[in-house]
Amino acid sequence: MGRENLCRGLASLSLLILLSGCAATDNYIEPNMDFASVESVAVLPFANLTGNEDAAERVRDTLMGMLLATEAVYVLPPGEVARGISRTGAIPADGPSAEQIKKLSGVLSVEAIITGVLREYGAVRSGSTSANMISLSLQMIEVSTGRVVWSASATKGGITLLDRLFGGGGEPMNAVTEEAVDDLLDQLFQ
Amino acid sequence: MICSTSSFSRASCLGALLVFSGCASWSGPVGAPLAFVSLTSDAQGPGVARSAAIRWTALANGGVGARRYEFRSLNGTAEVVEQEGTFATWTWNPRKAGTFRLRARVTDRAGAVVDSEWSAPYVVLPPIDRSARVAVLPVDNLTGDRAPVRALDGSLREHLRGSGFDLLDDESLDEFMKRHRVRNTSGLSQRASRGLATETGTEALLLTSLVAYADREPPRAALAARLVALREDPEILWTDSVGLSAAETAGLLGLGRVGEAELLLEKAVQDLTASLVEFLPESLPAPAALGAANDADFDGVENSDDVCPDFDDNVDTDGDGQPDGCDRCPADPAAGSGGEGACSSSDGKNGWANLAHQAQPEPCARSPFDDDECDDGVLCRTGDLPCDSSSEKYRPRTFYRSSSFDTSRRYSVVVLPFRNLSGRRNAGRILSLHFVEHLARNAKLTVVEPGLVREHLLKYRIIMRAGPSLANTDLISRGGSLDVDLVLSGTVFDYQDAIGAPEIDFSVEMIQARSREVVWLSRSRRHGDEGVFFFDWGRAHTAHGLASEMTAKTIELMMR
Repeated sequence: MGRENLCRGLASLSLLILLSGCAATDNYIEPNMDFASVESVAVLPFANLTGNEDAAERVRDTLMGMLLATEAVYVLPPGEVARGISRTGAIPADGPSAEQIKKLSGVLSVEAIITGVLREYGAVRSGSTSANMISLSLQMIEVSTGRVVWSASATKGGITLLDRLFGGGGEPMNAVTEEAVDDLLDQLFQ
Repeated sequence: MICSTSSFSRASCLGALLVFSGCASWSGPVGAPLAFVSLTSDAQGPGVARSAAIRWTALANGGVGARRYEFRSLNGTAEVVEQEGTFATWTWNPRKAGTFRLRARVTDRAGAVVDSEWSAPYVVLPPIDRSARVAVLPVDNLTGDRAPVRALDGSLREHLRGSGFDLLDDESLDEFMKRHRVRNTSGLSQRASRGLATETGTEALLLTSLVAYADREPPRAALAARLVALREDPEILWTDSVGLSAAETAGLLGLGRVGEAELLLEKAVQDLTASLVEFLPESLPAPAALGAANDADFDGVENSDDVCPDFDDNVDTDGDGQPDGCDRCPADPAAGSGGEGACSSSDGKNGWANLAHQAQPEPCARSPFDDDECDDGVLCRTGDLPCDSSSEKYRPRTFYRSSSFDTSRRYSVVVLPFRNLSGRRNAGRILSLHFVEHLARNAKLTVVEPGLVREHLLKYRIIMRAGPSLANTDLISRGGSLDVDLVLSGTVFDYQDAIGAPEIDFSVEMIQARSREVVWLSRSRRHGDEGVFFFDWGRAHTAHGLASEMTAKTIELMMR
């Protein structure tokens, strides 16, 4: 009887932990892609599905800084990317077409471009508890072929069990953003 | 066999063997070893170098093949490569005040290196003294709100006149501004600067920005100023800023609290004037009056008794017996004498500026992919700092510095207005002023006067909605009269100074013009209450103070 209760308790705890955490990732890597050949990338402005107007630019800046800091690839400055976009025409919200990628590669001289979609950014609320959360997905497109060679997403933050029990409001938005970007970079360099 | 013949001595036999065996990597004629002969200048002996160019010649003999010459300067602890190449001469145009020593290094094709001795010190004085005529432009209001700028203007002029400055009278300045249609008082164009100098006899320009002013609780005020010499190319001589809040003036039991913003502003004006007075000598001494053979730093204390070599021993703000040049916390007697090094921002900004004079710990040896080894919440990527508490505070959260960026060289740098994504009006301009101030203090950097940058951007119709492109960088650095090595820009994400604890979030990007490469990228973010556990210990009371510390730390890492 005691052991049954213990098992039931452990199962409930596991279920609670699973349900309370919001961290989730999925990842695709083109098996034949030689990522060592990618020496420079351009990070395009992200599609912003959140209500915060500047959120996509904040997250993009964080990604560019952390990606450059890995010293694995050179990241084009955002002003140069903006110049490339202005030369090739506006990029639609659902991402660049194959033709636009080819044009962009001609202007920017990069091996790959990274596009992204910011799905969640900001505080989420449940009852009296709130916490910051981010959900971001990225794609890397090889410019010579126009293929998606890497795709990943990350969701970080959100209301945890501890937040529900003790309150606290979760981590600051910037810390959550860094966690998500760090997770995505781990997936890229795995 | 050949050695057995009687026609060769043993010595010549050995030499022939060496030559024919191919032991020597250099196949040319073997001469005398590389040796340094002399490093000479066309100046009248060491002493004062003021605004005048000095031509240096390095002479070496011997060695293998063509020689390369490297000229270096040393100002305090900052050693800079001034010129490198095949030229044995170098024309030195000292631009910053200080005490300099110079030396040359010669390298031959075989890789042999010889150095000259450090030269006797040269004191470089500011090009003007307090007797020079100074024009004080009306205060530029960056508060984004109404502020008593006219009263501030009057107070500033009054304090400067009281300190012995010869100011251009208001009528002449108004006339000039009307004649040249000068409306923007954040800086003058090259043409307007020349006009001001020739038409009014003005030698320098004082530009002041009111960065913050708030009457509501807690009252606060912040001022930034710079003195620009009106030469052929206007150049920044001095720059400083002061940020004050009623909360930080409280002291023990709140007895010292300055409860009105106007009084804080008055105190800020006093502090800025005192800083300018300290920088500019009352009158420039004659060259003969300066220095003596046994007083290398010209402070009146003989070398054998010098407490702080290369610095003025007589300047000791906190009176702890440790001159400011060698004092970790020049405004904190306890930290200076006790040596515990626990100085805070309230101990005066020189406490941080003078860190360069202290022994610097070596960076941590670690993987560039290592995350947060210091466990301080900072994701460490490249060029990580040691995990000591003084380094953690205010440093960028993430940063990248290109391996091709050689920090031993001298650079000229343009600071562009930062993009402003924050809700605070003028935050981009405020951050760029912080960078101008702290970059100008760095001995290795020459900062282009922001007024010239503005003129350049307008002239070439450069609009940068997402920061400078490489084409913009070319245009800014080489397309006109600026001719600079580095272009620094950035984005301000948060500049919270209205309510609650201050909060600053910004990123910085620096592009090297020659290589068109991003050589520095960092993201800095901090909250005024971060790391505050007991009472208000370590709290940043003003956004200005917080931004200033964060900027200083960013530049320290950048130029490390």
